[in-house]
Amino acid sequence: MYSYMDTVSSVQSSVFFVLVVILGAFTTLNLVLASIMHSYLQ
Amino acid sequence: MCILANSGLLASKEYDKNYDANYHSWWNEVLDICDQVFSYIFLAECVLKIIAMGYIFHKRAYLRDAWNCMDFAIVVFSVISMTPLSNQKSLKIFRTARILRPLRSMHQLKSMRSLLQTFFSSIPGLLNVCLFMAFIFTIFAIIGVNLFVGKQYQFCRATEEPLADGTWPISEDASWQCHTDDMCREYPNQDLADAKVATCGDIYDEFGRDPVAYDNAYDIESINYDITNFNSVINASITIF
Repeated sequence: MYSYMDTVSSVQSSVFFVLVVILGAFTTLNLVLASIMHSYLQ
Repeated sequence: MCILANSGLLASKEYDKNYDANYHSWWNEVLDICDQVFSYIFLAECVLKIIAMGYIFHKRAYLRDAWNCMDFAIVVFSVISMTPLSNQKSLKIFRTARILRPLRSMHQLKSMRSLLQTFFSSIPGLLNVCLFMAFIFTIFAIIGVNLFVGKQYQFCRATEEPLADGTWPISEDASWQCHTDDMCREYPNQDLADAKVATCGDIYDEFGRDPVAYDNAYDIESINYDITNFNSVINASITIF
């Protein structure tokens, strides 16, 4: 992220990478946990 | 008890300073003897269970249970690793299979067994999550390619123009990445130091030349040796992953 903040634009790259972390990591991790929990409760 | 003791002994193997796997010490010799003893104990357990339960054809036979299949495979690997055949390079994998022995403890503990069963039964659901993840990654990869393609090769250059041989040397005084000439000054945004140290430039954008060949991008640490980049959707997907 810092590399692209230097070479492109601080706003563009920080928005892009923060969205990647929120949607690509946090949300997906929660979906994985929800899927395992669903199986466990069944 | 045997499984726990065997797991503990497996973890206590000694290595020399060079981490040589064939390092000989009195403790490693003790471990080898203990390993053989445990292998015989597990083999005896396996044989007794097969005699009591039947091998495979009976309805409740030994190999009809998935956990017993795993136990049987571990015992077979142990027996093979005790034969002289296991010294051959291609068969050394059987000796490595000893590390699977702690898995047997999961079969014995009821709570662990239910956790593992939960994990295996959630695999179909996890496949859907993986598909969703691939979808998200692909979307972000496409956006990333549109925003960042080739941009990571923008460095402060030592000369205004590329040299006659096609190269454009990166400045030694200001070897960082940039997107304006101002960023290549010694003190950016300060009028006192407005003397230009270097020119910001990208050999790929300006002249269509390959940054790997002309900039030695594989040797530049600040761009992660060009392993992560947004030059194509595939590379961008791997970078995001």
